[in-house]
Order: sequence, then C-alpha cells, then structure tokens
Amino acid sequence: MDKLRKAERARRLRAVEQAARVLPGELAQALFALGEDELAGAEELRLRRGWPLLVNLSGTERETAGPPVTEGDLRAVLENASQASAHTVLDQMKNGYVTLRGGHRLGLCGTVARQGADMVTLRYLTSLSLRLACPAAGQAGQVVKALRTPEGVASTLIVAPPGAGKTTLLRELVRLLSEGAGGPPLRVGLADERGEVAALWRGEPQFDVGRHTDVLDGCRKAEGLLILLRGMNPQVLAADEITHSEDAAAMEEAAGCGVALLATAHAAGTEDLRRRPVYRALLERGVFQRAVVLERRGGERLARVEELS
Amino acid sequence: MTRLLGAALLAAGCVGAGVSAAGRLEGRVRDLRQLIAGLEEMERELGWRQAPLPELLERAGQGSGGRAAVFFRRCAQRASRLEGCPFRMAWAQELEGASLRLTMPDRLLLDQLGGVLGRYDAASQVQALAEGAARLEEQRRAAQDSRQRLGRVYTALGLAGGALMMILLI
Repeated sequence: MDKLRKAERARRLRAVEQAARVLPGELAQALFALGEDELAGAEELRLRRGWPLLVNLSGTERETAGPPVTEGDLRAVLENASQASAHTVLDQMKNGYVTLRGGHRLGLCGTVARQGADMVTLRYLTSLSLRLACPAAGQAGQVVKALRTPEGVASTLIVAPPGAGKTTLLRELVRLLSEGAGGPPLRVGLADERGEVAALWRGEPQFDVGRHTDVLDGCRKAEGLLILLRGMNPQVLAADEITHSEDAAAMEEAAGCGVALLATAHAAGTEDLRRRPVYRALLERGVFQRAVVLERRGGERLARVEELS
Repeated sequence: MTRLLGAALLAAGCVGAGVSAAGRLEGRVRDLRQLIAGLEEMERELGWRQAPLPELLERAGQGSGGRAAVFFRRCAQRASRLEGCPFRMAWAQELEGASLRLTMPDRLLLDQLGGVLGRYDAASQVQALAEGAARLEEQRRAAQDSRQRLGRVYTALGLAGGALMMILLI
C-alpha cells in the first residue's frame, strides 16, 4: 500500500514538473518553492493577471510567493504551450482550452476578438487555468465485465451530470476493450472532437486508450463517427457527449452497420435521459442496450449498470 | 631568397584577398538561394498541413542545405523548447549568431519575418512567408548581378595586386 502511495506521489510530481515547463522562469520558481509535499496534491495551477500564481490543492487555492502575473506571462505560457505555433491551437482556443503534452489542459480566459459571428482569438488574456492530467485508475474493470456480450460489447451510454467522471470512465472503457479486458480485444474507433478523451498531442495520444484504438480528433463528432465507420472498420465506436441530433443520427447509422457504441450523455439518470428528445429517440430505436449511471456518494464515484431495452 | 619568399607571400595574400572578396559575393548568393528554398518549403507545409513551427523549421532545414539548413534547424530546436524566451527573440538570436553571408538589408528582412512566424493564423503566416521569399529573391538577383560584375573585378584586382607586388619587390 505504501509502495502504491509512493508511486502515485511520484506520478503526480512528474505531472506538475511536466506541466510547469510552460511557465516563465520566475513563476516556475515560485511554484517549486512550495515543496514536494504540497505539490504532490496539486490539481490545477491558476494564473490571474495582477495576482501571484495560485495552486489548487484538493479544492483549496494556495497562493505562491512569486511576483504578480502579467499579460506578458500569460502570453508566454500560451506561446510555450503551443510551441510558438498559434495557428495549431486556434481551433482549440475556440473550445476554451488547449491540450498540452502529457494531456494537461490549459483553459483560457480574456477578451474575445470576433470576425462576424465567429470567435477568432483572444485579444487580451486575463487568466489561465492549467489542469494537471493525472488520470487515476477507476472502477472500469468491474463495469467492462458487465458490458461484455458473446459478440463483443453491448452498446452503452455513460450517464451522469457534469463533473461526475463520464469522460474518465469512457477513456478507461475504451482502453480496456481495446486491450481485451473481459473478452477478446476489440478495434475501437474514437471520435474525439475536442481532444478530451485521448488528448492527442502532435498525433500521439497523451492518455492510454489501448493499442487497438484509432483516434480521430479535431473533427465534428457526427462527421468523425462516419469517417471512422467507413475508413477504419471498427468493432466499437466511441464518442464523448452526444448532444446534437446529427451526432445521434451518426450513432444510429453506425448501429445499423453492426458496430457497438460507447458514448456519454449529460443526465441525472435513465429516467432523465428518456425525457430528453435526442436520447429518447435513440433509446426508442434500441440503439443503446445498457447504461452506466455514475453517482458521487461522499466523494466516492459509484457506477451502476442498467438495462435499457 | 628571403626577399623572394616575402614577395611571393605578399603576392599570394593579394590574390587571396581578391578571391576571398569574390567568394563572399558568391556565398551570399548561395545562402540567399538556400534560405529562399527553406522559406518556400515552410510556406507549402504551412499552407497544406498547418504543421507546428518546430516541424516547419525542421522541414525548411531539410529543404534548404548549407548554412541556411543549420540556421533553420537551430531555430527548430529553439521553437520546440522556448524556456521563457519568445520565439521572435530566439529567431533574432539565431540569425545574429548564424554564419550566413548576408548584408544588413537581407538580415532585416529575415528579422521581420521572425515577428510573424508562429504568432498569427496560418493564412497570415503563409502570406508573410511568400512575401519574405519574394523580397529575398529580389535581394538574390541583385547579389547575383553584383557577383557577376564585381566578382571578376575583385579576382582581377587580387591577381594584378599580387603581380605588382612581385614586380616591385623582386
């Protein structure tokens, strides 16, 4: 147990060290002045213009002793994060964050510059949030066994309110199915529109999504699902956050081709799911057979598998 | 004997100075040609694949050659690990330290390009690269004219100076 805790601590410190590479020198110094005990609990770094760097330690913000953050610092962080390649992150900026090497996520805030109705970039940066990627192994091992069928896997919706860990569970399920947990390995096509699941960085997944997984990112989900279906001959198609009717239509088309589906949906539970038009239509047509409902109880995440048909 | 040796050395020095001056002109033409080839490679890669700057610069290094390739590769390394130094400054530092045989106007053109690379959307950068390459091409043509006109003059002056030294000292 002690060995496990040490390994986890070392992993977290490595994540902080990797993410801190985008910080300008003085801010990085201020961060590391906190010491390893505190840094091992770091979940997020926050840079707000005019204030020292803050570190989010399990929900509480701890101020560092460094100088106040300037707009130049914020620009430098963005330049470091993009390796001086603004053109490669403009699309991500429109989603509000940029994925870094290691899967860390840099959230951006400031004054939006527009051309017509479209956001072009941020004219001024006011704050940045650097969320450290430190995915912990969850309870997907138990869940995957309940989803396996003799043919492969049942089409499944992961259902939970925002922040309950849907994306983490989806990533874990994709990896486990791809690696052959509970049955033979399956070819998984992952339509990762916003790069949240695999976090591709220069074409390389920053999170382990399994060796039999093909990832398509930067492409709208509906389009991506069909590209994967036509081009990669998947046995399972996975996508995060099915919210639009065109995503649902693409899912239905894939299901009609005999491909199993894995997707996430914002809802409190299966009853709530049936009240929402996009999902109700999918459930009525039997596109999904099972749901994994996530709940948080006393800080613990619980997963419950339910039959939908 | 000593006198003869001294005269020969001075003559060789004069010839060497003339040939070296002509060589610098030739070197500038070659460096400009290689820089243009690198910038055109970047322009194509950026316009088509929108690759990140370190990759663009690495491709420019592969597509150029000679001293320009060294310059592009060093810039690629700097872009992939900025360590708090803005890319514009890193580019200027590498330009300053490179052994490229350029004139001040050539360097100014490249310096301006460093202020655009990596800062704007792909279309703006492609435009800046195309303009930069076109203006360097004008510089290369002028450098080639100079080389044709002055290259022979410098070589001839070197040879004539060397011969004169020999005549005067022997």
